[in-house]
Amino acid sequence: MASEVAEITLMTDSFRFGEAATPTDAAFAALIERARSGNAAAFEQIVIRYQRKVLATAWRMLGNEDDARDAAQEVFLRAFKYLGSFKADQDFAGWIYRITVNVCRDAGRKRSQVAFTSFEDEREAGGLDAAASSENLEAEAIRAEQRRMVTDALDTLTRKERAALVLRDLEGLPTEEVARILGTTEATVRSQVSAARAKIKQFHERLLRRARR
Amino acid sequence: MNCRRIEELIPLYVEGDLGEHGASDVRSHIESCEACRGLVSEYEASQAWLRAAESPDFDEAFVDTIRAGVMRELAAREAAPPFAERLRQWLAPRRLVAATAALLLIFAAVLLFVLVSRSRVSQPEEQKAGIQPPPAVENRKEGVNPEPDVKQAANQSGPRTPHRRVTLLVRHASRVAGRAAKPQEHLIAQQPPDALPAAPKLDGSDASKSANMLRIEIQTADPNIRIIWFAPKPTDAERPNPMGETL
Repeated sequence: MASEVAEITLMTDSFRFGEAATPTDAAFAALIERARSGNAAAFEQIVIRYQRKVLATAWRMLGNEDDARDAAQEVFLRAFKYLGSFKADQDFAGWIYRITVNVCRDAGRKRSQVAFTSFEDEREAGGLDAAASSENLEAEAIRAEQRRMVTDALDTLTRKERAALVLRDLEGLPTEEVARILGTTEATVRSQVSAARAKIKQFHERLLRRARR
Repeated sequence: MNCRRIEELIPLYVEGDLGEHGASDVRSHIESCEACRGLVSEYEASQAWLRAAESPDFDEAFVDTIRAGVMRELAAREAAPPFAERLRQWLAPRRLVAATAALLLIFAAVLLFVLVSRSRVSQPEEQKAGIQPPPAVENRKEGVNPEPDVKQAANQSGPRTPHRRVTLLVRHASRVAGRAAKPQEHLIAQQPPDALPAAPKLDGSDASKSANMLRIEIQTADPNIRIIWFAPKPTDAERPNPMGETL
């Protein structure tokens, strides 16, 4: 736990959380301050603001909906627990992103294999938009199949390679930030993403060859 | 730069991870190398395919289960704080004092119980070994009335049989006398109290009781010290070999 806190406090305000706006406005700062003092309602507003993004990131890291949802909940519970260590001059989005990576890494350690979730499973779980009309069902099925393929491709990577690739290529973070999040050097991150891209290319080529037959 | 070196750089080149110098080397190489140019195209295609697979369009209700789950868990934790917090609250100074006092009381009770148990265990062992509480020993001197000691000896009659009691008294007297001087067993005599010139009175002038008592005298090495016991006479059933059991 201590290392976890130390990792979290390493976050800097230069971090960007994908498309989520960095909450630098005074209102959000006040919201965080209230949450830090134990105000659950204020913290709930923070959860509402970040839950979709955290869920999407967790899904990329873990590959299925249920694990991603569980991880997202754990992210916010840890955030609430360690909110006292969050500094006002830090970037909250980056801080919570760091927790997301740590939680997903822990979840990845717990399971030996990433569970595959089919499109049908996702529907049954209610994870996909239930309001989708019959017209776009086919398009959604194609996208789900594509996601499944990408998930399979990501499954060919080691955990470190996957984390580096997701952060760098799917989340679009700079190499130095990825290195900071993963607690390693930029050279190591470059090596990991290079190896990961090569494996993804090989997987993609196999798909193309199979499609041509 | 040869193709092998360029092939190592291409995965980084396609995403702009090379410095200006490295990127320039790759660019100049692929202009003249068709194979490496094809490799760059393959990487760009696979990266595009990777990015095309966006995360699922999560249902709003599904997303909101995160908030609901988090808030439910926080409420549960608030209702039942974690172990460390509960321990800290429990160890509040007032409770700590009360707990310490309770522990001390328990410790004292246990200690008392152990001591009492030991004394109970050692007492029968001493009795088995023939050790008795000090009998009424009289430093008989000329002109001293022995009546108080006689009373004490008479009052010691308990559940033991008379001959057993006499035996124990004699053995104890021998032991006590042996510490000071060698016991002179020939001086031990059993005589009816009425045969002695100075028979003490038991409980005043109860003659019937007096007739049923034995007077036992022990002369120690010190001529000034003589030990006298009075004990009930053994009954007829107990008369054969009254001392043989223990002596």
